[in-house]
Amino acid sequence: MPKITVDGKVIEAKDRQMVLQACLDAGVALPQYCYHPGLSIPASCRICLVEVEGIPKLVPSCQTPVRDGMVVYSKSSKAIANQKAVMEYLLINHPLDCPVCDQAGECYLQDYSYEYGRSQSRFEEDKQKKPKKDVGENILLYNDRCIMCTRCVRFTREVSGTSELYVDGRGSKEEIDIFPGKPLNNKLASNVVDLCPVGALLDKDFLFKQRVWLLKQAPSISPVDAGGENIFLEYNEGIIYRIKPRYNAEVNTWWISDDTRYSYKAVHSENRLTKPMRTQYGTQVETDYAGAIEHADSALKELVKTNGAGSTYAMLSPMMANEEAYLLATYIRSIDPQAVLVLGPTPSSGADEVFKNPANGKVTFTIKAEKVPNAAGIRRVIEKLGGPKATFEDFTKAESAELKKLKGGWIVGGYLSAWLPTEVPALFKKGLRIVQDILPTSLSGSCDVLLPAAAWAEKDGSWENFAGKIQPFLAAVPPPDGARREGDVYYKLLGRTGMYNAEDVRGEMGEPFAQIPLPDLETLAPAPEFIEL
Amino acid sequence: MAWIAEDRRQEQVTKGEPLLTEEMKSHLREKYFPRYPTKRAVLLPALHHVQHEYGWIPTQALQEIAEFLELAPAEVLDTASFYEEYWLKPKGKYLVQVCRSLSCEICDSRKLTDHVMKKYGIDVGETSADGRLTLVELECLGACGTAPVAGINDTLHEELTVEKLQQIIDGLPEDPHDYKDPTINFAEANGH
Repeated sequence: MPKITVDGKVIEAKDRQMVLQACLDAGVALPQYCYHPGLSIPASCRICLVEVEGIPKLVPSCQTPVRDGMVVYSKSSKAIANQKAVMEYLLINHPLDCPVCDQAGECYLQDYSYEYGRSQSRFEEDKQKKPKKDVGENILLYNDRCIMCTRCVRFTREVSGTSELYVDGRGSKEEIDIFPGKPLNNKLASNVVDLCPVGALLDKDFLFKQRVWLLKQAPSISPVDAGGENIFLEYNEGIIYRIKPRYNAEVNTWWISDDTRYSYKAVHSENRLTKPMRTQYGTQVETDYAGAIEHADSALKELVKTNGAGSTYAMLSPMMANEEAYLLATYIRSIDPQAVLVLGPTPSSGADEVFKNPANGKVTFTIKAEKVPNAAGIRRVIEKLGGPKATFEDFTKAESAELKKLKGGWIVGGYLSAWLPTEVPALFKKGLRIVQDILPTSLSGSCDVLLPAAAWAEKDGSWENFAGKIQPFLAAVPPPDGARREGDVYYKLLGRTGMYNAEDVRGEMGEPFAQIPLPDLETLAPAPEFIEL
Repeated sequence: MAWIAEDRRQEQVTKGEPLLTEEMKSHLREKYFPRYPTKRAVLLPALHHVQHEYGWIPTQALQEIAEFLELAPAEVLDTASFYEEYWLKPKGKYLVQVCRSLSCEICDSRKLTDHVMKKYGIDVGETSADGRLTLVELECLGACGTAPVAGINDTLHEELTVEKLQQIIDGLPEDPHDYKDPTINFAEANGH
């Protein structure tokens, strides 16, 4: 383990690590634009140059491997002079349009200008003006603001492997561009917006929607597939404005898919169910939430009384949190000890989408084929509780004696898009149907009791991804008026006091759920072990 | 320009007869593929080959080169746009390249440029109306001892005066492929 001294502080580095990585790992801040731990190192921005004892010229810290006993100065007069010069050069042609720039507030150029730059520009000539370009379905490019760090170009070449972006020209005429008619539309494309250290690459979806310093972050998990990508929901005053990736070395590293990024739209859909309903004389009528819950409870109890044990089922949706599935299953089994637990439909796109780096063939990102986040978790909950269970296919066919006995049950939806399969199970058309869902379906329009539920962004819980990793997520916004979190409904049904608390429920559920730590908000994305040269 | 964004997504590349013909492909395959470990490395010779054939490199040809060398079109354009010697816009049949480096500048190379500009009504970087000449200025051509110099396509002309340059321009053949340096054959030396 080589030891290096940075500005008088001794740091332990890993073998073959670069000076910049070692510093970042040890919490020593060095400025950086082009360097990104997930991409190759071009050492082109030159702001990270440091002075090293024994080397007459400044060296790029991102590209200089550590050596035992190395003495590094990042605040020597030479290093500071370089930082100032780089900032001045970058700002020569950079427009001063921070007030209308979406990146303002999370802009490296702003931060470093404050920290390392000058307060005034000495440049009196006209700034170069470069065009704005529409380069992809979700992405705008403001070439004026670009500082040519080429992070985005390297991303499309090394991570998505699609190479849509390129550098046009050279020198002061350099511009990022796409080949005419070949847009940046791959499934990982919007990651370039996160990568851009300045406001050059912009998300059309977020453009001019909100100033970033007003946004608050809630750690969450991607609801669109079984990969369990870690995300931040960024919200303000009860509205989610965007989703950003959250670093997790074991799951999604620095990236998320575009499906994940724009999944929040379903949360604020105009079609959200917000009116609890119950059937009276064959038609649905609006009711109050407490009444609907009571009605559901008494109807279920009545059903079991007349038809005996084993006449009810609960369809646990793979969109539910493990805690909610556990509570619902506990509730229905308290009424009917032989209730059948069914895992809801798990739509699949057929095959995983795998992204590779064409240079070395390494897999960089995988979008899972299973388009629900928690099928594995629900299976685990059903397994843990034991008793009668059925797959959705068997439930649809209803051939076994056990399933033929079913007279009614509790159906949870919660999917972000239409979920009822083309072949609707016979049990969804007759018998007692208590439905909890967020978006309207033919089932929600015909069921006996309708309880509008909460989307994943509106509640706490945990999901298990395809690899068996159970990850917690936290609520960002409250459910819309008239909808209630599933957990609260089950608490009421189970006669528990207080509000639904995911952590308490996890403790009650036992291993492996009890030991899941909440995401640590203080942990910044660390650099990987080392990047192979 | 203010808030108007160029729509780069919808731009269509006109598709016609293949510009990178089978003949050109087999030439590249036989001559250049054995020289390099990867197909990617043949990019520069391939661009040269197309430019030599057509005088410039049309966007369609860039796409065909990308397909041929198994690269992304954007990567081909990245390289092609980096080098100023690759023409991505049509140029005249003859490229008049006047040296503007120190020795030539001292020996009045500016007069040569001014003469061509005035005579053909073009600016530096522009093509004459008949499509015959394109004028550019460039840095040292490596013949400072015989300044001022200018290159016309692949041929170097030394110790120029305005009259001498005009004489050379007037004597250029109709088809640029017929135009050869009497002393060195650049085309053959470069492998074309």
